[in-house]
Amino acid sequence: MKKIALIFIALSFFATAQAEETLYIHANTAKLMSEPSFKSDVVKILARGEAITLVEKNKKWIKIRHNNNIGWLSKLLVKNQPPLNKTSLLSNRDSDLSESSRRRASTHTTTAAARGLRQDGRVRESDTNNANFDALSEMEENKVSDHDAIEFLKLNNKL
Amino acid sequence: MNRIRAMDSLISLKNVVITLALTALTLPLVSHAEQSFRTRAHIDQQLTASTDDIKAEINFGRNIAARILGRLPLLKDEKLTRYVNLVGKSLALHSARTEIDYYFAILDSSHVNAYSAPGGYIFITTGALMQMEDEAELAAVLAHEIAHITEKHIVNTLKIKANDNSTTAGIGQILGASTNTTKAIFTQVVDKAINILFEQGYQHQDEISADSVGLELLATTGYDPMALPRYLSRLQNNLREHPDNASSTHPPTQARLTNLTAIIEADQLHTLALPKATDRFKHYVTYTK
Repeated sequence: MKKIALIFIALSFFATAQAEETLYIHANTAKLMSEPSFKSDVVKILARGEAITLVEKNKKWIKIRHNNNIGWLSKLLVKNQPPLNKTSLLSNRDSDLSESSRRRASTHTTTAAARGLRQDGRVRESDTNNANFDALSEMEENKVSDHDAIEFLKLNNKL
Repeated sequence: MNRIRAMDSLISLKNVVITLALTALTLPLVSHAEQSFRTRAHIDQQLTASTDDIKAEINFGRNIAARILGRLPLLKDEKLTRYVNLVGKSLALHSARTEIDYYFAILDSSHVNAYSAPGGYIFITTGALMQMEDEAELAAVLAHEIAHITEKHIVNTLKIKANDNSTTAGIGQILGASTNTTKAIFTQVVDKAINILFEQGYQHQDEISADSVGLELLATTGYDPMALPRYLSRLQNNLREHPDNASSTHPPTQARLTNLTAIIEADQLHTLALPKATDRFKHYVTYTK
């Protein structure tokens, strides 16, 4: 009887261990909340790429464990695979610049090469389908860096 | 380096497996089973996107974005554009798709609308900006568009994938056989995406999903989530007087408001004391109705 009980406990242990699911933070930062509510206290702020263990799910929130902390995260912030590195067809020319909107002389050439079409093909494409790749290049040059956006949020709505 | 990047892009273009025949058949009639798959909770989705898939998505999105800019002119206002980019990027950093870059642009058009193309390209019209009263409302519209990208609504509808591990790898090989053929089919699928954005609209379920995800993105970033229903309600009232400026590609506003109200009540989002950032918005957005 004792043996059966031990086997049962061991099987339960393995079943529990196998049921544990590892998830990964995909948002830049994720607030671990004490309750499944935006109104609850922040237990800890987790960073992109950190692995967490799923404890429980409800409709929009998941209860997770991270080191010694237990709390709730929005499901939208995590996925079941680690996040990929930043993927872009363009060069990383502006990614680390604090003033990313400034122009460079070579930018038009650089982005033209990354359009997926050769320069002469691009002109034909623009003519036949009314595509404006020059405006697209301008749009891409106006990208702001992660750093700038984080600093903008820190301003707490001030100018 | 430029040649290498150009080659990368061409390879990416070749690798885009477009199930054209399937798409043509299924676009108007996406199966019920697929719809329910796509509306499943985020975490339940099995992630199969590879770097090649993402490059294919960005390449596809760039071409759609260029076509949007071919239809509607870019507003030349550096200060305002940077402001919209800062608000949009702040939201995007809190989304679950931080592996792509996000670009935000203002379109000089009196029509009240916003658009997004796969891969991180988001547009808002001056007509939409004129309807807004605070930064949270701007964030609400951008969050809705970001959600279309994070939930891959166009990518899933048109089945854009790189050809590795694809069940349609055979078609990928056919496409790879001819650059001209590849380009022709690629252009046709971009046409379909443009049709979704300007004529047909997203599937109703995708719009509702973008509202739900957008609402949560607002709260997560720290903006007043009531901004979305507030903006939509104002739009509904104002556009009764100017129906020509109404968006024909979004579902009836009342249906969206009903969905939002249900979520807000269930999650008690109306009790959150999060900022609207009205003063900052009025500093940058000087357009008036």
